[in-house]
Amino acid sequence: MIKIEGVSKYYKGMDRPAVSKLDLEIKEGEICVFVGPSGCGKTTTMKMINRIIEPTNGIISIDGKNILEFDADELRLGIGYVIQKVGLFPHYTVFENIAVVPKLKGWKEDKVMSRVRELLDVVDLDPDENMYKYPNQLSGGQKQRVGVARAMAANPSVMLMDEPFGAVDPITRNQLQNEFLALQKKVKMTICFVTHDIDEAIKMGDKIAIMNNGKLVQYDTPENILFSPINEFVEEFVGSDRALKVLNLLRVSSIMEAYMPTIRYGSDSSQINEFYNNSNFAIVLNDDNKLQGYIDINRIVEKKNVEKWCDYIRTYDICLGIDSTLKDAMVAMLENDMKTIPVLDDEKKYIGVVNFDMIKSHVGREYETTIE
Amino acid sequence: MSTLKYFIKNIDKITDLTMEHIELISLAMCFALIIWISIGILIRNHNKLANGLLGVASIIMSIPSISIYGILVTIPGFGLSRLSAVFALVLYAMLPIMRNVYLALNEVDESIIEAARGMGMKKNQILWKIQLPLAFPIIFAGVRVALVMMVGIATLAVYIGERNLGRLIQQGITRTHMDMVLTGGLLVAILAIVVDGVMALIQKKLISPGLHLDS
Repeated sequence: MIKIEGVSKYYKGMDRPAVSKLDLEIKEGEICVFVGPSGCGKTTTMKMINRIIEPTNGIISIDGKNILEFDADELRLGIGYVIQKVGLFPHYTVFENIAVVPKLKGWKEDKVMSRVRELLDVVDLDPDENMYKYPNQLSGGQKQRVGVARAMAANPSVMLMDEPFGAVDPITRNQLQNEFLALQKKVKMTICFVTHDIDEAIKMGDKIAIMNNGKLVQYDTPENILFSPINEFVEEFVGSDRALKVLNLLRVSSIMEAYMPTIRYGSDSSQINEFYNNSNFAIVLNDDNKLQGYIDINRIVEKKNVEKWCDYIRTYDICLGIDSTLKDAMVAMLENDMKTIPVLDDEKKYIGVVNFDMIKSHVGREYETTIE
Repeated sequence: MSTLKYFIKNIDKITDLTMEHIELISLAMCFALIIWISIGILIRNHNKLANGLLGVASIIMSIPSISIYGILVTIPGFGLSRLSAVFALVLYAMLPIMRNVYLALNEVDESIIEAARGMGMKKNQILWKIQLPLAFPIIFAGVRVALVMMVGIATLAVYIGERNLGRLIQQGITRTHMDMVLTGGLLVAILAIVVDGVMALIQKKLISPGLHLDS
């Protein structure tokens, strides 16, 4: 838990403080995203947490302990730190880069080695292939993965991330964001995340702190920021396309339904006739619930070939993972010209479908309930 | 042909002079490394002081070596001694070594230093484990330039009593003994090239592969 109480930062020669009387609490295991226009004080705030910048007044405490009680270097050893430019040490291999903090903490050689391998697996880099590469042999996305691994090396409970995915291309960024969210689900660090991109804030944050001119404007969940912005500044900052941003926030797992009938591959055709009255389509599954495709029941019945229904199975070109956002779902629908898309769990088993009407009614409902 | 004959006939004396030559520049380089690298490190965060010292170093560099030797000889305590020769050579190494240490340390990418600080490395650890290794290629290049320069400047130290390859040139000219002049001249040139080559090899060996592969 990070607690910021009445913290201000004044710089000489500036007419207003960089950060002014900030009060805020980041709960254990949550991602708090600081967002705002440049110069709003978000990065300054973050850097005060690991004392790269010392506050002029106010108290910052981590897990109830005032950070001033620690030696600054000692404090930083316990806090993960990821920056936009990554800052990997070019003369160190990937292994040596990740091993820096464990070695400073005096870990034994074999423990360091196994931890580095474990971390490379976690950030989806093959340890054998990448451990002894130098940073300039890695792509931008790979570098940032190593940067995240390095920050997590000694199991910090607190992590500071300064626009960590800002310097990579949009596709890689999206991928890194998703991977990081999945990772965070497992390790539950308390994270302070700085970005200027409201979309990223909505996607990554459990809480969002919107700052302007050194002051905290609104500190709330992404839902509340989107649906009930506290003032015009927040409303403007979030943008006029709030309804679209909601799509980025909601996950298919929260709206998917299993309303379509399912049928096992190779099973008896009597089921088809049963379905005929209720539904136009059915989902075809393997014995282990893996998705085989779908069938158009009307067409099979029309062709009078119900016995051989298995010949009429069509496959899906695209499926969604359970963590996909509604935006992912919409994009998939538009790009593939499909109205219904199946959702699979982590083991690729079928769990339900989403369709356009579901998205429409769900987003509409969210809006109504929160606007009241 | 006659030069070769002269060389073979006087091989003992020439070896002796070459060793003296190498000894002088080695001694001077030892002092130069200790003094200028330390000062370079000390002034890395003091721009005004650094600019002042770099100015002094540039002025020293522009003074002809023969006149520096001349001035040193007149100073009590220096005189016609090895001390004067070593001192002059150390002065000439100031610019290439100290400047490169100072510039290279300041050129290390800010984000790398920030990452190191943020990870909890102490100032000393950042200097020794991060900044100096990253600055090393540039520092080494400065040392290489200084060393090659010393080979040449050392020849003039014969005028203040040094015995080295310069003596062949100096005496050859006074005696109009062309083979002697040529032997001395060629050997100094070869020594400079060899020193440079050896330094290049060491450079390759010592620099982290992560800094080589600049792509």
